[in-house]
Amino acid sequence: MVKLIKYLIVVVITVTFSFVIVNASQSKNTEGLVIDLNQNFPYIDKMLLESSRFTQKDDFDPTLVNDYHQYYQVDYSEEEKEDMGYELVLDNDKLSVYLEINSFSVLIHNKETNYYYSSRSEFQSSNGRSEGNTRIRARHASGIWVEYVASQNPQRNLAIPYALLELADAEFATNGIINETNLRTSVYELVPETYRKNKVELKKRNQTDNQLVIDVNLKTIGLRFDVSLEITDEGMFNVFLDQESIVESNDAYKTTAIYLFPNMGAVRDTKAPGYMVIPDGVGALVRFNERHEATLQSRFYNSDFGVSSTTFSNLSVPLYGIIHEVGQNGIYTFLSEGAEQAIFYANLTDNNNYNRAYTKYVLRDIYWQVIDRQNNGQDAVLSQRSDSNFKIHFGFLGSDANYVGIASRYQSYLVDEGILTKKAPESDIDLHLSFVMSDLEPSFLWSKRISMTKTNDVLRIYEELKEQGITNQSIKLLGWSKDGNTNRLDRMNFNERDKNYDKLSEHINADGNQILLNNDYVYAAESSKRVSLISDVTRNIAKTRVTFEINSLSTRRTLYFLDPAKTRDKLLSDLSFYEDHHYGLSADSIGQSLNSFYRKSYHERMDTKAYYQEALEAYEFVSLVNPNDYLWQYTDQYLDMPVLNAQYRYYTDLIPLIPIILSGHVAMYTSYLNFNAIGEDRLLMMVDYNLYPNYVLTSEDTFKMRYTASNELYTTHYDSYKAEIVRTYGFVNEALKHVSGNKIVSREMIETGVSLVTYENGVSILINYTSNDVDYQSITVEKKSYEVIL
Amino acid sequence: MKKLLIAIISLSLLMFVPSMITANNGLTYTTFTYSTTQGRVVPTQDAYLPLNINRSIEGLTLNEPEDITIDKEDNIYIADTKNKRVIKYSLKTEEIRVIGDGFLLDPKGVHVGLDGHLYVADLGHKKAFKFVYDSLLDDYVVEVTYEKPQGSVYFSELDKFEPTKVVTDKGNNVYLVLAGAINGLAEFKNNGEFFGFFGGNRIPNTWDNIVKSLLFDEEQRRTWFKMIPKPVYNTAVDQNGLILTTTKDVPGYLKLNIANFVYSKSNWGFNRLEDLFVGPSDTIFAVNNDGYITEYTAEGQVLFIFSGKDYLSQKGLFQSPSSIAVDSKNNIYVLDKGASSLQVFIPTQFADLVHEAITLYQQGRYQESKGPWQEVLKMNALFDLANKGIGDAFFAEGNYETAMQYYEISRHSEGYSNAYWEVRNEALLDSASWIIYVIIGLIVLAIVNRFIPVYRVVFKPIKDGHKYLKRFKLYNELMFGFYLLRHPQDGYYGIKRENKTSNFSAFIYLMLFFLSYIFYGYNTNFQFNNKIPSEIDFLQEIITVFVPFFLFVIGNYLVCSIRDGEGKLRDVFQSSAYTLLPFIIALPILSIMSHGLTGNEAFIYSSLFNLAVIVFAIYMIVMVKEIHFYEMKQTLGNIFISIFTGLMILLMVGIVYILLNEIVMLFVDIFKEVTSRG
Repeated sequence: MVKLIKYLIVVVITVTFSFVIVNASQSKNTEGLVIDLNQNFPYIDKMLLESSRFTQKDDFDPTLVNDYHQYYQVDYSEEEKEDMGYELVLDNDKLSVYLEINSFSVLIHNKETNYYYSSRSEFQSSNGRSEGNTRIRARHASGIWVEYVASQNPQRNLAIPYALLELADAEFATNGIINETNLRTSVYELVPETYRKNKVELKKRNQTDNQLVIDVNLKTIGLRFDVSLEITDEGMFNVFLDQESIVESNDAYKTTAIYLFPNMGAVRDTKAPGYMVIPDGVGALVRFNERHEATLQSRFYNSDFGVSSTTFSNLSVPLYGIIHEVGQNGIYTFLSEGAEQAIFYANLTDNNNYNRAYTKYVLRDIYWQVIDRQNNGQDAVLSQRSDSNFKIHFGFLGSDANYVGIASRYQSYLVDEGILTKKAPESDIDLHLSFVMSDLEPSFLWSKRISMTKTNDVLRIYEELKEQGITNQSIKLLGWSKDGNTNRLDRMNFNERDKNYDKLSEHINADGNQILLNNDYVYAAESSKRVSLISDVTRNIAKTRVTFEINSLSTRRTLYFLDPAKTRDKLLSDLSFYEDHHYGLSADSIGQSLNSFYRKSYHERMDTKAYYQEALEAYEFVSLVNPNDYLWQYTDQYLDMPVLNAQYRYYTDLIPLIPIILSGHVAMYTSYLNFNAIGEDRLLMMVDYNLYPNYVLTSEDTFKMRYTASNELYTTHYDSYKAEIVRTYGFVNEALKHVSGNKIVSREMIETGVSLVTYENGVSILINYTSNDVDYQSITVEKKSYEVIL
Repeated sequence: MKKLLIAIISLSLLMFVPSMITANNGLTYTTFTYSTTQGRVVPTQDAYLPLNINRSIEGLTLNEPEDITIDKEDNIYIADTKNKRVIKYSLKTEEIRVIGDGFLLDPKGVHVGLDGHLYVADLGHKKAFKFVYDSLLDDYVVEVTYEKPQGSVYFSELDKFEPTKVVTDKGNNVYLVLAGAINGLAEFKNNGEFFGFFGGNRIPNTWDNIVKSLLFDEEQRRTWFKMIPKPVYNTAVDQNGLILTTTKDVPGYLKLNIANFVYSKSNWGFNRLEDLFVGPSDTIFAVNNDGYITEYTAEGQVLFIFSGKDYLSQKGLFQSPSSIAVDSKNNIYVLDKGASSLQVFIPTQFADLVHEAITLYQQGRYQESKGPWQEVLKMNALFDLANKGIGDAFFAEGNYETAMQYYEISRHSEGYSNAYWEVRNEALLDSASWIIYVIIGLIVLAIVNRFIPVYRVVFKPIKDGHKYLKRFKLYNELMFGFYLLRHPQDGYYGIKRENKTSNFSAFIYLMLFFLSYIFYGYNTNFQFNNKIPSEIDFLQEIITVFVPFFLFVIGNYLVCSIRDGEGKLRDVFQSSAYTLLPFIIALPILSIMSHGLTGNEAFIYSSLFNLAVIVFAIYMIVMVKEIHFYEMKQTLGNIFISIFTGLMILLMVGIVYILLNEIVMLFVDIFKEVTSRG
């Protein structure tokens, strides 16, 4: 009897449950409930648009511009140049380069705009005070700095930059103050004979019109190397340090780093109507509107865990610039060799009066050699030196002196080098959908597989969206293997019959669309059945195993970094699986992590890079998350384009630097829009930056996977997203379909919160982030909307 | 530069690791919430965006500011402590005014009462002041001073009076936080007359403290054990005039009613909250000294946790936050004393939705709140509060089955129980006719049995099976447990002397117990079971069951063998295993039963459980008594000593393990050092 009631109740509950679930999910689609939220204060909206979350208007005070023209442009006369020891060494149609060899300083004359760039901090003492003691002044005046440590007892805090003039023991002739008696050239003047040739000696070699080599001999520390200077017909000034030319003759010291032209194009204080361009995240500007008193120091290509070096910034391109005057003059710099070994510095009036952007070439990393459990130990350096060359390219801007100019010029360079080729869609934009197929829930003794989406569901959803007019879709499957979605590196077996997966890929490929399997070949969880913690996991420079404790408020997990050679091997051996089943590769982490590692000997990041490149080259279609530039050649889809940077206090603008570089070539997708908390602003940003929509979905209710590791994806249910996907796609496609396959040629802020982006086919898109309708020429753009100008 | 390096090195533990969700909204932090269903912090949609960092306001540079408040008219008041002034800034008109410049010495706390007047706690003056705006002078003037009462029984000459924060309640009574005062907040009438203490912390009733209170007098407790209540660190007042307090090293906050009792408290919180503020939706905002901001509902449930510690001047993070305030649009203003700056956060759509839903929900408009809650749920399907809110809405609509579903997702046992009661009630009523048929059927069957032995036929296979199995020794051994249950004394004698059981059968009992324990853990309805199946650690369960059991068995055997006990090790083991029978029977029954019960009938569940425990305890005593042939007094003594011995064994094993580990690690260290230096 009791049993009967129980059965009855269970039946009643299940029946009503299923009815309710079906009903509720259906009603959700149609409602599309729109709630009129209270508007925030108008001044908050204004503050938001004026914050570093948006690009700002180039609005400069006319007095500032005037002062800049009058006092803060390098205009040395021929006599002054001669007085300072400069001689013309390289010359062509675009540039002339003057060299002062003792301090390794150059003056570069850009003939197109008739503008001089100096490798010294110019306009010293313009506030009537000295720039500091001899060491600081030597740094301002020298084109080479080096860092070294004692071989026997290396100490990180003693590895500071020594400027050429300091190593030469040179003494300055004046106290560094310019007044009636001291000329402006006198700040660089040395007491005769104090530049000691027995300590430092620089010699010219092999001089031609376009090129010359300088033999740098730092006798004090027993370091000798060649730097070659070159100017090109395109107007580039290239500086090359061949690592093979480095000779270290004094065993007492080990050189750890070399800086070449750290003061190049430095801007004094707040004196220039320009900004610094930093490739952090999607791109950042630092305007010289105030003394920021800060230094950004970061490796390119994220952290290097091989030497336990971490960074918050994500510099995925070794490209930066200093705009002296927007639309007039500016210098940009990129590295074609040695970026893996370089550390980027943006010195923003920190401890001195200058804004500088430069890179340090690291020959050896100083690391912490742990000797006991308490992490006690000592600083150490290897005697092994970097195998990488170091090549810096300086380019000079004219009317395109802004971040768009830098990005387009770098794009042309990449196209010329064959790194960028056209891979973006030509008409309608692409919609990216990720499906969580299944994940594992810990259970009694073994784990239980929670199936969230079946292959048939994927097909159904694909067809449904196709009926709604979304013909360009790329599909990515997560948790497709029997290992679920937790381990990052999964075994290659489908959790349904192979036939089903084959049917799915055939169907989607038949429409010319891509379908991808997601896997992570770089980080693996301990539970991964494909990873041996002994042979596959790599060690760092201190020979300890590289593990990552994810220790946020919500998660505590350990991940292992795989030996890059194993990463390559696994990728290559899996190739046939992807090919047999007609799936493309979607690899997490590999695009954005670059770690040096230890295997028998220490391998620098260059080796890791080579392994990754070799593996990805074998694949026909590759979709990468936030890939660094050395993988762009193999990238067919750029996923999770960030809409942020590290948000340092001193960043003044957010700019689409990376999107402009890649525009017209690679399809770029925003990160999952399920987690968009900023509403329309995000969609407008996608239109503005040329990014395509991206969602993560499940066919089942999300709460079913609440006890799996996928619960981080806390909202995925397709039924709740269907309407939104169609709406969002329509909104973005209506703008971007007119410009797909075209590159961005200009982007300007018409007013605060209103940007105008122009593409090479002449189409412009006017985007209005503000809460008011805006008139531009004869066009009115509604609030929080855009207009396409054909 | 050097500092930067140090910061970077110290960061080497805080590493970037690609997570499943990449930063989506351009923030430097992830937003979390506390999930009551999972009992842990989980990620959620971003609720607030950092707007900017202000190191000065309209040209007035801040210097280690320590308190901020916002009045009903959206004026901001900042205690600019090191600049010895209070800054008033109107968000609406951007008007700025300096108050108390030249008069204030060390303003640490500001507050605006419902009366619209400004209250300032000044540590330099050791007083608090009420400032009133004088429209003739167009300035604020001090009207009332709150200072240490003279000749009061509450204060001795030596007691310090160091006001750091100030709030006022609905009756405009003034409450001062006094630094280090263990009695709580000093309460004044608005006219400056001292009233008494309010909201002091109490010494928690831990076992430790109770023992101490029994053995020592207050003086000794204070001086020897520092058994004094912790001083209230900061305070806030909610929209209804209730006072909130927070204490260093105590998680979260307390909300007190007028009678000085705890009205509600946070369900989760950080240990070191710096400041509290109650926002326009009556939600409570708190910031801790690591820069984490937590928002709670009025009842103390965590809504959002976000922001964090700043190492490299990133927006949205804090070096050393000192105070928090919220304006009428839920924009958050946080002072960073370390960076001498003010940061502003604005709510996202998600936060707006949650606030809207909560406001409706708290007004009891459950059905109206359903829409917003569903939107919230769309953005985060695992948001407990939304699931509960929708459950409540369906419950209010009378849609109990659906309500149950949402309650179950949010593991809200009270709601589930109520909804289930309704559903079950309906089912019972619906099936009333069936129930009667079945009862009649049974009666008929009983009558028929009188004439035709139906039962005998039905039970015949069972009887036959029993007869057949009785030929096997193991079967008899296993069945002996039931005999033991009925005749304990005889039964234990049978184990000891008559070999009625074997080690194998005892082992089966032990395994059965383990199985039923596991079944109980996995299967019991969440109303009676706070374990989440997927979080049960199998190894840990094995340890919980087997280690105590064997420790007791071994301890008991060892103790009794030197204290004239008769039992051998096998006797103790077998009889202990057989004594687990009450649980082997009760746990599965309880577990199955739990699915048919609601909270109203919890007593049935708990009394059955207690019954099993009592039976077990009694049999345990009888067991020791019979096996070792003891007197009652001896028995009890030996049981205690056995338990103690078990603990000592555990301790010893632990010590040996640690020592061995040390030795191994020593060699590892030597090896490491030799290789790294060589």
